[in-house]
Amino acid sequence: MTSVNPKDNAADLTVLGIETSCDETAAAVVRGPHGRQILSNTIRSQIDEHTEFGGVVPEIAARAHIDILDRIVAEAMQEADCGWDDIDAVAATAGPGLIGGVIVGFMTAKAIAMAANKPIVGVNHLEGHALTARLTHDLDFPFLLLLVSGGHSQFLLVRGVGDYERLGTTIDDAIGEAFDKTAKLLGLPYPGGPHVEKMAAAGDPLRFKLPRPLLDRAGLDMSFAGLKTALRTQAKKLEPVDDQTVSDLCAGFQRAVSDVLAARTKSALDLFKQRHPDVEPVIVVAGGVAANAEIRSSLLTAAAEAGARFIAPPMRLCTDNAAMIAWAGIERLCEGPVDDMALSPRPRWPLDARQAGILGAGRKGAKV
Amino acid sequence: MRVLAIDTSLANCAAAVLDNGADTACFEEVGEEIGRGHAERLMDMIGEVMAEASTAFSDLDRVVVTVGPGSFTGLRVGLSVARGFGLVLGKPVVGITTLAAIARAAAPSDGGADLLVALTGKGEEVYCQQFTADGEVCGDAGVRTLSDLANCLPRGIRLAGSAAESVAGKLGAAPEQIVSRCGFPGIRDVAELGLTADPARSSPSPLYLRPPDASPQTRGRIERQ
Repeated sequence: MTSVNPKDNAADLTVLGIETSCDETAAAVVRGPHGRQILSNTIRSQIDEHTEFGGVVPEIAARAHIDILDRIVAEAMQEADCGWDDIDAVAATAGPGLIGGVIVGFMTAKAIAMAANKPIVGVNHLEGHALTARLTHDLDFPFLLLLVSGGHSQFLLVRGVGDYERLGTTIDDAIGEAFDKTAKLLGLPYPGGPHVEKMAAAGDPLRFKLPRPLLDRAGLDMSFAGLKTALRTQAKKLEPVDDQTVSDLCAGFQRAVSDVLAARTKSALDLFKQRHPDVEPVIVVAGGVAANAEIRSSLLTAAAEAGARFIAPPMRLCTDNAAMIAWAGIERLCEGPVDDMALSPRPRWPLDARQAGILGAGRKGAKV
Repeated sequence: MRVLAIDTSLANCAAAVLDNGADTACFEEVGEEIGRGHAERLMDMIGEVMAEASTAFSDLDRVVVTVGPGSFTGLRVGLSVARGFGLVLGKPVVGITTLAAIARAAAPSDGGADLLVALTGKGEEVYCQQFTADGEVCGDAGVRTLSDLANCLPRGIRLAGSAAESVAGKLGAAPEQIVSRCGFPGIRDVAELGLTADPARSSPSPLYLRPPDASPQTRGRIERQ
């Protein structure tokens, strides 16, 4: 296996990235670290396949990935105008995520790396999100990351490549998951986020009193499962519900999530300032939930009040994509030679390995 | 022609290099019955067998892979790797069913009764396909229940595969009708079939035979006006 050590040679690297950990089949070619450039970023979403089930079905997702991944990779290479000789390494998500899909992506990547004689980098999906802002913005370590998606809701202190500290996380549902479950409960289509937001636009956020879970406690952990249950309890009393009630429930839910996130973001920035008093505080937001306008605006306000710089990469790079995986691969390779051919795909893989798992301490290890 | 063959569909994890050229003939194989965990072992086995056969990836004319029926995760491990190789090499990737490869080894070739290859599925179900005594396909692969098979299989049929014993029991077949109990194909049979398979008719696509276990859930939904 060849190895790449850019410290010997300051030239940029060209890396093929592959992402298949949830319901997006994606491949991308990215150059960096100096002249940061996304040469291609191909994504095929599986929303249509999962719609009738109201959520991502792991086996359906895995089947969809194997059906099209090789074609998606070929498209990404073609769009980047790259042959196999033009790339320096292959990076692919090795976890955490739905294991059936992770296996398809990571094994495909290993095969490409072996046949093309390139190094393989197994990227932690969360690390991809954590480092994306360094692809899109001039940003030095350390910074604070809020990752809010269908699978994760956590605050991470990003001190360097491979140096992360999870400051707080949801102890049950991820926010995107709570949006999806709320939508399903109210008979709104999948994915729930945009539909709940649309209904909320015509709703009164104050009509229903919904809890702000865990805000009475110190720390940065969050909880969203109880919020969804509280919403169900209130809705049950009014069954069958009219459209206005659905709108009001959605508005109340969205406001509760925004309030929790804004409060926790302020505390997280306070903690960041304590830890790094000499550094300009920066909060980076990643994940599909950042597309919600009310949540985004409450995060902006929270950042402004704390005197922090607010960075949200463009939505296409904020939700699951392979450019972030390729970029994380570049960042890893810049730290020294990498050879992850022996690494196994992992369903669970906390970014901060020192931290005890919060959820699911079973055979597969901690979920978050 | 020189092929790399891969099988991760069932309990076996195996790779082989086979060349049928007059002057270049060779066969090397590496494999182990591991049950599960194919993703962890496969790449090492491929590296090893390629080295044993002194073969570079550029020497390969095609890649052969089992497509199932088998473990959904296992067959996707092999298919991902085979298709990844195909992408880089620009060479055909051909898919072989586990049933056909088992039939190739088990076929009695005596001009007698047909052969049913049957693999154990969920509960009463088996994944199966009927072949002639020479191993030629003579029916579609499918999922059948043991009772269903007992009602419609011809009396003298020969049996192979992990479910051969249970099918024989249900059928009241004589012990000599069971020609093999092996629950996975031999990698050499996979490779041999791959040499002659027509790429246009042997797509490297999974043969699951079962839809995903998923049904729309409406329980707990709030009634709308």
